[in-house]
Amino acid sequence: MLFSEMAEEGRRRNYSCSPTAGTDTPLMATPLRKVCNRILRFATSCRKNTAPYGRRIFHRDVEQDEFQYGNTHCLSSYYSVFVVRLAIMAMLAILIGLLTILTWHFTRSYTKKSLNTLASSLRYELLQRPILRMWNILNSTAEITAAQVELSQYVIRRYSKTTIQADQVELYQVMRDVTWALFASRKALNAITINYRNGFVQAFHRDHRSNNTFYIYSDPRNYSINVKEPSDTNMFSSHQAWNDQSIRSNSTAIWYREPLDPTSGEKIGKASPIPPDDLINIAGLSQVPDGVASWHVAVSKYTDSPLLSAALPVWDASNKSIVAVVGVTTALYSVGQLMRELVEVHGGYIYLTSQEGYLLATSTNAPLLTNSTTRPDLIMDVDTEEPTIRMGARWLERVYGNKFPPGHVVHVENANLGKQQYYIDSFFLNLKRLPIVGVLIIPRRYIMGKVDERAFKTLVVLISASLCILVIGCVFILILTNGVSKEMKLRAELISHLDARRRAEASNNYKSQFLANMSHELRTPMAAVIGLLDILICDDCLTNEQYATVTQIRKCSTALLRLLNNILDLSKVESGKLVLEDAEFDLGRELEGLIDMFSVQCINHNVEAVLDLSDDMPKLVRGDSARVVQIFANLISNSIKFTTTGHIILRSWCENLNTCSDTQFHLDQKKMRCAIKPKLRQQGNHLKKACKKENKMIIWFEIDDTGCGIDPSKWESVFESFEQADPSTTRLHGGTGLGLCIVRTLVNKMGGEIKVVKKNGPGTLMRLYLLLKTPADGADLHCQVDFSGHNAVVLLALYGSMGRVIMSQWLRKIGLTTLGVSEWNELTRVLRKLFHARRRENGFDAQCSLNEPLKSEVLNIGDVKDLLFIIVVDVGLLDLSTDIWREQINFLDNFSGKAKFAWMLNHDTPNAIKMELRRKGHLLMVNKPLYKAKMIHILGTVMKERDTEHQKKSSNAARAMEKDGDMHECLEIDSTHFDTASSEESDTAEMGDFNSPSTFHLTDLDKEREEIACQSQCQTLECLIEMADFDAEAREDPGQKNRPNDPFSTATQNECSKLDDRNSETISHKEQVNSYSNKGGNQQKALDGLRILLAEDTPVLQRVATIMLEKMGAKVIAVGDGLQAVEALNCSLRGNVCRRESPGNDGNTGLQTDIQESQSYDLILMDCQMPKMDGYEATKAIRKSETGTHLHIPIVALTAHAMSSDEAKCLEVGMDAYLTKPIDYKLMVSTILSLTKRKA
Amino acid sequence: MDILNQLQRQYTDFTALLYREGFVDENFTQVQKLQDESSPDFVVEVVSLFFEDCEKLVNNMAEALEQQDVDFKQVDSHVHQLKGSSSSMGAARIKNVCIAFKTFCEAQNREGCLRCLQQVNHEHTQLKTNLQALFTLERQIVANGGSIPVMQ
Repeated sequence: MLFSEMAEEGRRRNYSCSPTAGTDTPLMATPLRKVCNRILRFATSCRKNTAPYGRRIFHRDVEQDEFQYGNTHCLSSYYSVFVVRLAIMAMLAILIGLLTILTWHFTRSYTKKSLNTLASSLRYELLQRPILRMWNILNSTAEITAAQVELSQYVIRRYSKTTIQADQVELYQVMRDVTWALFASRKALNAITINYRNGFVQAFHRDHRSNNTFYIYSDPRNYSINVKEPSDTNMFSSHQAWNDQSIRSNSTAIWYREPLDPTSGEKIGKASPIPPDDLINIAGLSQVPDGVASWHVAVSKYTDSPLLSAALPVWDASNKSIVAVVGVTTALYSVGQLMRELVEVHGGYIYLTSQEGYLLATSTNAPLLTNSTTRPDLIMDVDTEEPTIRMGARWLERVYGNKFPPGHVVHVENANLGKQQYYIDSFFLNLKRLPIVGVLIIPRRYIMGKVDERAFKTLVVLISASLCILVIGCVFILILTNGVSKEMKLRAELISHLDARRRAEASNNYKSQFLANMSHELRTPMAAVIGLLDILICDDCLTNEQYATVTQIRKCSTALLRLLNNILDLSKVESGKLVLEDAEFDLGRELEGLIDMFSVQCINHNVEAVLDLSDDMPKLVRGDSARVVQIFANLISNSIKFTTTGHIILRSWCENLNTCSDTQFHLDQKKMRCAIKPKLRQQGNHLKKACKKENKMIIWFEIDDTGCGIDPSKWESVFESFEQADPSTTRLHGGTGLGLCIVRTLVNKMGGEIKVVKKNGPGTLMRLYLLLKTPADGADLHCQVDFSGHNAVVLLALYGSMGRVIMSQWLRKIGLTTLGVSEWNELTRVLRKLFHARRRENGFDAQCSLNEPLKSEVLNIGDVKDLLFIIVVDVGLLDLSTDIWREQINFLDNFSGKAKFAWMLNHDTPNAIKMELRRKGHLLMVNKPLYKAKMIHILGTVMKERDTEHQKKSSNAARAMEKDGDMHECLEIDSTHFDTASSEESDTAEMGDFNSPSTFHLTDLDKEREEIACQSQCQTLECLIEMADFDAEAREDPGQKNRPNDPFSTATQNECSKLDDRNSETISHKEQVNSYSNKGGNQQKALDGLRILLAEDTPVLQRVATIMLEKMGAKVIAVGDGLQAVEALNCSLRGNVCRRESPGNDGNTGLQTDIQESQSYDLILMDCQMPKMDGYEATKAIRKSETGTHLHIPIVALTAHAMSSDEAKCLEVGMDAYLTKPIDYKLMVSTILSLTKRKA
Repeated sequence: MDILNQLQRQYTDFTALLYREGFVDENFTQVQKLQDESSPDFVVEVVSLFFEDCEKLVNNMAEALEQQDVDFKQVDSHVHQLKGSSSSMGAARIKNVCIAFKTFCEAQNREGCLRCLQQVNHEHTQLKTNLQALFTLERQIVANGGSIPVMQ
């Protein structure tokens, strides 16, 4: 039920998991599915994390809820992790962004600031220079003009008194020279003009384009002196008239131009007439109306640049009237040139304008003048052909209009002209009558271009760098968080694994507990089945077939029960409920019994079973004998299972420093062991020290077989439950794989260890050691025997070589000469050699084809006189297939006078052989296998016999027989004792299965011996004459009774019939029968005469138990609870005195009368759970009342709990044995018998 | 003779039914086996003892379970006793119910206990009816001079 529940639970878990897998539908697009998968994976890992909370609660519904909760919880936690990651990344991004921007901003702003400062000073400088040039030009012009005026005044004043034409001409000539000197000194001048009052004009003109210099003058003949008399009074009024007239006259006058040498001023060409004012502006009186210097910008036909002209009047001596006007014209060309040069270096545009906006000079080659139809004229800056300047001018106009800031100083940094940005700076030069505005337009990129570019590049680099850092940072964060989350995952997994392990352990524990608790439930029906089968087997009215079937069922049930017991044992150990007994037992005897038991099976398998105990083994040890036997039974049966030919050796030796100096054989083995397993040994040594104190002993065992062996990789795992070295062997050999597991748990429980050890040759070598207490008295009864004084030769004619070798080695060790042969022919040869050679003195060398060592040994022996020959012959050497064996026995009989024969029998040796042997007087027979104890007995018998022979020469065979019988009695008792000692639970049945035949055969062999054995063996049982009818029946129909497969009754009945046939002493044989029938399950009246007090509260059980016991002849007094039991017992203790006062208050008259009749009780069956006073209390009370007396009434517990802990509790309070409910018929009888027997 | 045969067949069928239905098990057979000439009414005796005991225990348990604070320990001991006697008697169904009952007791589950108690009562009544019928048949067979067939 529990299993199915668990399975269901598992299935549910699967279901709860499956939805996650179900979402993985193929409909989903691949990337989406990937993402989903990832999330789900994460979710599942999370769930693993949280699941333990859910699983700890064992209620499944709750668990499912927890699962769902865990699912959502995990998703949310996944998101939270996701969000945290995002947040970290975002923070990183912001940080890096901020850093980037700040860096960029600071670098850029500082650069910009410094650059701006630099740039503005540069601009200022740039603009300053043309303006300075302009200023220079103006200054120089002004100076020239002033100088001319001064010179003119001087010259004119000198000639002012002249009235004649010649003087006038001379004046003009002087003026011309003076002017030329000035003109020549200033190369930059364009022209110097002198306009006399009378309209005469003198001018020097320099054409910069053609690099020619001209002298221009008007025809002097037209001008009279008279005309030159101006009316002072009418100066201002006539001024206009003069002006007009001059103009008029100018227009009408004829002007000449003669080219001059530019350096010397010599006339180099012919004067040619030109129209007036055609070439140059002649400063007239009109330009100096108020008599002060005037400036204006003029244009000329022959220059493409504007000209700056200045005019000053020349005053007469009285300084009242203007006699002439001097005009100086300077080309502004050089300013433009300078600007161009500047711009070439620095870039940008510079231009100068008048205040009105006429362009005076630009840094470009754009024409400054318009070639209109009439005459060239200045153009406005807004109309210039140069687009940049035009745009700049327009921009300025647009922004400022006519309202320029004071001083006309403008600094604009980001004027957007066209598609580019420009710096625009303007300066104002406030000259009198000629204010000039200078404008500088520099493309921004010339100054800031690099900076901007750099800034941009820096920004790009910074941004890319920061992006890289961001990406790397994100990756790092991912890696980091991944690592952390991975670690967390691993941790979670670890936790879940731990939890799973704990749960698994818990469930395993539950399982064990469950099984342990179920043991009662499981065993009860089996016990019932087996018990009922036993009853059925005893039923007489079964047909043969039915009988066979029932026997088969009995066997199967036993097997099933054994399996059950195995499982229960295991679970008992696992759940920690196994309590080991601590009782003294004879280890050697137990092992011998085991080997006896298994040898039957071994012989059937054609496998040799050998027991090799070292001599130093302690005789008695303390421990749980049943468990020790169980260990070896399991190991040996396991070995038998896998061994088809060869041998199985059970070796045992004691952990002792002396052992190393034992026999050669052991020494060799030790060496080998030491070499192979130093570790195990070391451990053993270590243990040994600890053990010495506690009086414990390490005893080593080895099970060595020549079977199929175990693969080294499985050496560990074979000890696991349900584990077999090769799964295929299950089919071949069967078995559950529990045996070795039980063995290991038991060995460990006993403080030992078991291992599979490497072995030379095929097969398996299991080595284990057990920690067993030695009896406190410390008297190590080493059964050291020494036959060396006896001068005996032992001829071992044994079939199995291993046993023979081991035995002969041991015999040699104890001082005996041995010979070993393995087959009949060899035996005959050796015998002939030994005896015939002696007799005839000349050997049968030709006949004897013995191998050399044997031969030499034989010869050695032959030399010694007066030897005692003991020949141990294996029946297997005889040819049993035909009748040859009779002759073989006859042959051997020839030597019976010279040697003592001991026969090794198989369990299936035919009776005929035994009879024959007995007839021939070969009375020394033992069953296979041969081990030390048997050998010692054989030797002892032979020795004793010889002694008696020596003492009484006339000894008869019968006497010897009896002696023999004595010996074999011992042997026999050994085995039977073993039988009962190991009768643990129902294993007995099977063990008995093997064991009993050997016992029976032994008894079968020698009637007398057997009878003696029986007499001593059967103790308490007053045998029943009623059994005679059983015997009689057996006699009547021995054939029917002699069924196979029935080891108990068949053998017993056979026995009976035979014994009857021989007409032996009736009593003894009946005892014998009875003693066996107890084992066989026929307990009729087994308990006759016993008085049993039954304390049981449940009426049903009380009744059943009563009937059961009464059927077996016991007298039962039943009481209802512990208190009554104690009282009843007290009464009986007090005997007759208290008869009258016995408890009658409960109205149990039956009880009263019973008690009144009673003398005392032989045994108490005590239920553990009873009202008023339970079994434990009652036992305590009884034991308490017993203190001081020598009485000890056996108390057997009856309980429904089948745990050994209960058993321990029962034994603790002073009970002697323990029975489980429902009562197992057989077990109850045997328990009761063993207890009452002990008492007897 | 016919009547006897019929009765015997009826008895056999009925017993087989009892086994098949799980009212009784092998232990009952064992109890039956224990009956012989020395104790001719052994089975009836045991069965009636059992029923008495059973009724007493059921009453006790019912009483205990009605209490405000159920003494599960006591109930448990009652159940244990009942289990012991029923398994000895071979009343398999009652024994099975007892096993479940015991687990409920250990879990201190009052509802489960009550349910089990009802079941015990029910099984008990059924078994009683059945066994009474069986014994009646037995008596009839004996009265007719036949022997009681032995179950195989």
